[in-house]
Amino acid sequence: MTEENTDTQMVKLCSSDDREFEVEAKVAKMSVTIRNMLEDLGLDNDEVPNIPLPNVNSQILEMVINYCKHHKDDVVLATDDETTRERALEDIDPWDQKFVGADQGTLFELILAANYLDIKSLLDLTCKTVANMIKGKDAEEIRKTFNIQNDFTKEEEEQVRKENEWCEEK
Amino acid sequence: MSGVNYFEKLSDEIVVLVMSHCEYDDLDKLGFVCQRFNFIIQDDNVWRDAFMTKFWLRDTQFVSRIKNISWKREYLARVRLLRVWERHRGFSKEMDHGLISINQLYIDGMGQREIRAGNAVGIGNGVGDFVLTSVEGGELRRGTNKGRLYKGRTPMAPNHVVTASCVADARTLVYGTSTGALAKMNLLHEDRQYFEPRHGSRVTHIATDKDNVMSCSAENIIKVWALETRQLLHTLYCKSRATCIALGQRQYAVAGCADGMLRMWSLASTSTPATTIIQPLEYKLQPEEQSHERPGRELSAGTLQVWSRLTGDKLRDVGVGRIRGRRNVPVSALAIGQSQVAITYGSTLRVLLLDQKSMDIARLKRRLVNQGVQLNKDIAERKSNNRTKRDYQLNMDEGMAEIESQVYSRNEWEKRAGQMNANGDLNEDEMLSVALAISLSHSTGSVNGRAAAGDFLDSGDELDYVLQYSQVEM
Repeated sequence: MTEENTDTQMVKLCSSDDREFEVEAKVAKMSVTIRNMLEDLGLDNDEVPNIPLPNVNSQILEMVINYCKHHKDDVVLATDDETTRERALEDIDPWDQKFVGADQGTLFELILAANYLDIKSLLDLTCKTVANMIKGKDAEEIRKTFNIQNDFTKEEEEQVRKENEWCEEK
Repeated sequence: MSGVNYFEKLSDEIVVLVMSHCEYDDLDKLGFVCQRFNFIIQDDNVWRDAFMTKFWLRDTQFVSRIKNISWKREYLARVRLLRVWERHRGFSKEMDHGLISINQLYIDGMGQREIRAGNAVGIGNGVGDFVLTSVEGGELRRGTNKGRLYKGRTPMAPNHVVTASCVADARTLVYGTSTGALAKMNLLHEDRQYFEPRHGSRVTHIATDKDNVMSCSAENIIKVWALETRQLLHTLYCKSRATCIALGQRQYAVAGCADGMLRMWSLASTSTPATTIIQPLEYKLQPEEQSHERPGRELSAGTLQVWSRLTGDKLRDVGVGRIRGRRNVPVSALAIGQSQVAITYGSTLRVLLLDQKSMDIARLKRRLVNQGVQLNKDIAERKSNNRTKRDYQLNMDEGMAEIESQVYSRNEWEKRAGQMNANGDLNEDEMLSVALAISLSHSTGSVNGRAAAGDFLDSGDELDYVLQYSQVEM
């Protein structure tokens, strides 16, 4: 089977809540995890392979598929160096910005999904979005933003502050 | 506290991944947020990853460390250096080049698109929006102005490692290989034509003007070719390793050499057969030794000497100011204009202009990046006036010590600061900057020079991360 054939072939992705999504293999293969699975299955007949993804629910899977569909043609440029990273933090393209603009819960779910499915560009995008939410905030604001409990005792906090004092000043 | 802490869902590994996208300041603050973050941030690998992301590095082996203690210190040191630079330079722009380190710069003297930089062996303007580079490893790569890099369609022969390249015009790339072959390639079709006879060893530099190509090999043999016909026009012998070469309007070939000589060949008589040895005019950049209280490391005044081509007599000396006390000052970049040659030398950002007819040498009053003194003075003033702001001073001093760490230790720096206060400009030429490229453009009689220089790391010619760009009226 030639390369083109495998790319136009469809695969079925099955979410944790048993919803099936039929997508082009080319799109699905942006996930290294799925690509490996497909290779393991061996695609030598006409049946549509069914890939179970028990760690991803349908809402998130749908989003991931949308992301992959939108970015499936970037791959040609990006594969030159697999480590091609996105540009500076501000450089997130508008579509992507909107894509990750949902609530925090969804964003973190997307991080988990991107990590599990091994989609580097999506993982970078989501991590960067979180990094942008951290940017410029002080510790208390960061805690507020992410609902993080301050679990330092007074003494510990003092200690940490002392250790870091020398780099507080610009 | 209400609401969900979604970080709890992430494994430490993924938290590290998120952190690797944070800037230094943010990362530093994360340690105060909670025990878990504080614990994670203790791992120096987090700092390494963030450092690598921030500076676009792929592999730690390409990093010339300035702080070996930890990646956190490395990151901090670099961030501070950038700040110090940004604060004190007249015009500084940090550009993400997306490559490992810069060893080539291309400056567009005429057009709007100003600077290309990269770790490629050759850079120039290509068709349309392209910057063309070829990277060692035998692959032609093209990059767009948006920073994407991709391979050319046709791979090079496996034993051909491209060692030098130059974009001759918008459609033609000339490149040389480790085997001494020189070829021109049409950028649209990627078909190649070779120049014969080839060099006996690695091609180190290539320069072009409209009609000609000049190539230099590791044996210091320079060949001048006709671009269109690929005919060999001249073979020139250079006594020392050429550090930069340039070709001017069919009339001159110039090589700046590691021994500090500027060698200039007149190519005007086109009837000369290619085998004739043309003796170069030689200009020596030679620092005069001066006795000083610290032997071995003295500062000395540099002189550019002009020699007669016919008699070999020394015609005149031109003082070029203080340069660091090395016997030989390599020419770091040169450019040929219609009637002048511009030279930068050593690790200074001074520019000399050599008139090709009168052989007069003018030294530009302004240096390309004229901020070294200012920076030092500023620090000195802070030291004397702001004694109350101790913390700030300390930080600034550290920043400076880091900048100058290759030059002298912190204690020495203290001493220097005192001296500097007295005479104001002792350190100016010790700033660790190298002018990498310079170009001249002529319009209505005036000459505009544009130059870019980079780096705060004195690691020979390896430049990282910072580009300084400056334009001078000449």
